[in-house]
This record gives sequence, C-alpha cells and structure tokens, in this order.
Amino acid sequence: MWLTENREEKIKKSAEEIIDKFSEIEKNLPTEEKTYYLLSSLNVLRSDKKESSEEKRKSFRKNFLRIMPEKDDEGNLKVEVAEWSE
Amino acid sequence: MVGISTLEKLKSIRRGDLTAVDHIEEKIDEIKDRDEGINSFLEINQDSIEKAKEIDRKIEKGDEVGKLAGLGIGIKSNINVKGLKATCASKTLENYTSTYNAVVIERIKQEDGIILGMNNMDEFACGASGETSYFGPTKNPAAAGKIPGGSSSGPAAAVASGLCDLALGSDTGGSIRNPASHCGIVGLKPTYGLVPREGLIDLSMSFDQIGPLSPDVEGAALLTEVIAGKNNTEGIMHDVKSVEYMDKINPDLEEMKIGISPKFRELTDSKIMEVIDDSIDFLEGEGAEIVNVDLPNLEKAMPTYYTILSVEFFSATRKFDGRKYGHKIEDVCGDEVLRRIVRGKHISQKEFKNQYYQRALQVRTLIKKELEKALNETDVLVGPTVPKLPHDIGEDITPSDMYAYDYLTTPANLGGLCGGVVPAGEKNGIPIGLQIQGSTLDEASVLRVMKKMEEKE
Repeated sequence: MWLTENREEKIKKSAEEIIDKFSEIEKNLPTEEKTYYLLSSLNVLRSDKKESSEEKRKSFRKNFLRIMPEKDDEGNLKVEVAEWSE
Repeated sequence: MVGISTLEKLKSIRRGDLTAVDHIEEKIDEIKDRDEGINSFLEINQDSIEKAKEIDRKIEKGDEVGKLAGLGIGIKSNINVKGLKATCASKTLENYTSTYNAVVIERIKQEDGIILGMNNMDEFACGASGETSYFGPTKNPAAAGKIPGGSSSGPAAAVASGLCDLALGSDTGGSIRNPASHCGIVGLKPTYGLVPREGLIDLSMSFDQIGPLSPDVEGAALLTEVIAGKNNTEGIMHDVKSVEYMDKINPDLEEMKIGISPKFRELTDSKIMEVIDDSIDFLEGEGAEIVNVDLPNLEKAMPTYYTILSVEFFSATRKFDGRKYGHKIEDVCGDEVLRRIVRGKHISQKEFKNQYYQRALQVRTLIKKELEKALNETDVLVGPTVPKLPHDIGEDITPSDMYAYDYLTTPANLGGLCGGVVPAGEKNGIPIGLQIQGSTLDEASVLRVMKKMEEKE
C-alpha cells in the first residue's frame, strides 16, 4: 500500500494541511518554555523490576517465539538483513 | 439499555443473588447474539468463565473479594492482556498475542474484575469516528447509522449496549470522552501520570492516558480507583500511591465554582449548545456559581496537538518493522495511520529549523498556562465535548473535518488535566455529553459534578 504513488501523493498533501494550519496560528504567539514532559518529576533513577522466575521467563520465551514471523531450525528468531547493511 | 447500576450489580454478586458465572455467561451469550451488528468486540476471553467460578467459590466460602468482583470488563485492543490479541485494530498486529499483562490489567485482576475480551477501536487509535479499524467500523448502539466516535469506539459501544459492565479505553486527544459523548455513557480521562501506561501500545507518549468507560459515574470512579496509582518502574508518574473517590462524590454543589468560556460557544454547533446551556442552568440551579473564564487560545490546541502527536507517533511506530512480530506498518496500514507517519517524518526532517515540533512545545506551554489560570479561578470548567453532531457511518469527510471533532478535547491532553463526560441530553435522537475538566489530580471535583448531572432529567 505504501508504494502506490497516487496514494502516497494524496496522503502527503493531506498530511501537510495541519502543519500549514499550525504555522498560521503560531505566528503571533509569544515565546514560551518548551513543555516536553507534563511532569517535572521524571523518575530516571527508578529501580528495575524484580527478576522473574525461571518458569515465567521460559513461558515468556515460548509465547514470544509463537508470534515471531520467521524462525530457523533451532527455533531462533530469523530476521531479514537490514537494507542499510548490504 | 444498560439496566441496574454498577454498584447494585456488585452488591447482587457479593450477596450471592447473582452468581459471577451466570452473569459472565449471560454477557458472553449477549456478545455472541448481538455484537455482530455492533462490532464492539474483536475477541472473547475464553478464560472468563473459569475466573468467574473462582470468584463464586470465594463468595461461597465467605472469603473477601475484590472491588470489582464478578464484573465483566472490555479492554481496548491497544492494552496488553496476556494470551489475548492486542492488534490495535490493525493488520500490522493481526497475529500479535500479548506475552504479558499491562499494569492496569494486573490491578483489575487483583480486584477480581473479569476480562471479557478485546474491544474494537480506530486503527492504532488514529481516528475520532470508530471507522478506521482493519476489522470494520463499530456501530453506535445509541444512535443508529451514526458513528460511535473514537478512538475507543469498541469500549464505548460495548458499554452503551450493555455487552460489558465497564471498559478500559485510552485517551490521547479525546478518545475516551468523544465516544462516551456520542454513545450516551460516562467516560473519564484521568490526569496524565495518574494511571500507569506500562503495557499500553503507545500512540503519543506525552498525551496517552488509560481511563474507564462506564454506564454510570460510580462505575467510572470505582474502576479509576482500581487502576490509578504510581507504578515504580515507570518514568513519568505522579507520586500518588492510591486514590479514593467513592466517598467524595456526594453531589453537593454548594460553594462550587464552575467556569464556562465564550470560546466553547464560538467553536460549537448551536444545536449542541442548547443542550449544554440547559445543563449549565441545571447546575446553577443546584447551587453552583457560574463564572466566565478567558481561554484566548483554545482553538489553537488542536493543530498544536497534531503537530506534537505526529512526531511522537512516527517515533513510536518505528518498532513495527515486521522483524520480531507482525507486519511492517507502512506496508499494511490504513490511510489515517499512514498520514500521521508521513506527517511525523516530514516534521522530523524539517526540525533543524525548530520550526514545528519545538515551536508546538512552546504553544503547549501557553495553552497549559491559560487552562491552569482558568482553573485557579474556578473548581472545574464545563462545556461541550465535541463541537459537532456525529456524521453518518461511511460518509466521506476530509481529514480536516475529522480532526475538527478534537477541538474541545485536545486542550486537556496538552495541559495534562483530567476530564470527564456525562450524558447531558439528546438532539435529534443523538446523545450529547457534557465535558467537565478539572485541575491536575482533581478527579474528585470532576466526578462530583458528573454525579450531580445524573440527577438531571
């Protein structure tokens, strides 16, 4: 779907409408501090969760392997080589 | 349509007048019988009857049961429930089965709530109509032929049609409040950082908030009590251990100052304003003082919101590359998801000039300050939820017209405030919800006004 030129062009055009609208409304507004986070108390030193049990980890791995798109003969996740590395 | 109140249902299960098994079996049968015409559920939880049996055994033995004992709860499909599919209503994740529970799900289970299944939604929460799901649009059980609103379309429609007792949605720019209004039910967007987001598949990390949809105010208050409170493994949360609302929602409005803004009227269809004005008259008659407040840049919230959201969404969706699970998002997503990705990419590329995103973060500060000032002068702000009546399902409307639904709900997300919606009346058979916005962590005042509104005829 992404590669259809017509669709991409149409989407691009409509995507830019709201940016144009924003550019229009911000012109006469004052300069302010930027609000990246709504809370000033960013908990960067939060503690890690307790390590899960061996049983839980095995069950997680089993469930994860079930949903991965491709696997090798040994059951390991198999992914396509990234285009940029070729 | 929705029968007895949430609290009466809970009491009935606790007393043993109604067994949890009978109650949940009835809900599942109703979903099977009636949901084909609504499309509010994407998957039913096959373990729900077993969980109901556990609760009945506890009650029979006289053991203590949790706050939500025996209630059937629908979950928006962007919240992870172990063993169920969290598809975000997208082909991208059509085969993605959750490997863990979101923190809110663990909390619901601890309080003996029963997960009934996964609800439909707009694809990746990108939409205000409930029409963009890969699994087909959700219908509005309260207004035939009209959109139910979005993006929490499935949770709202499921609650409105009585297919579940309560539901969890997420609100990034109005996604709980908008469908609550269109479907004639109660919805609450809690303060940003009050409810854990761990396990929510994010749309926009600085706006997203999980919250309840309910047939009544007490149900919304109860579910918020269960899911709210600090999660120590999250980076951005208020330092609040737990919240109690049930004893604070006495609907006494004496000494309460309610703010209204002329901007609400400027932006809103006059047919909707008739119902809103009637509600404000009712609240004044019940003892509240009505005060005019100035929100000079309210209409600028929506384009500011979409500028920030698109950048955060572009970043959030880079993990959907189809390598570890699912499909690559750009290969399979719908138009609105692609539009937001394209826009986010475009803004990010242009950002060396600090032209859009960085500037939008400044405008966010301005709007946040204006809302805080208005709420310093009053206890809550009251007005319409959506500025126009819902369109017909399938009607072709432009992206700009779709975004216009968000004019009145995005300000609370920019400011990180709380906001609730309660039915206010109808116009041409279409429900209209009153929006009540409150200061950071002042859900109690919002819920008080909502509770009073339930007395309005």
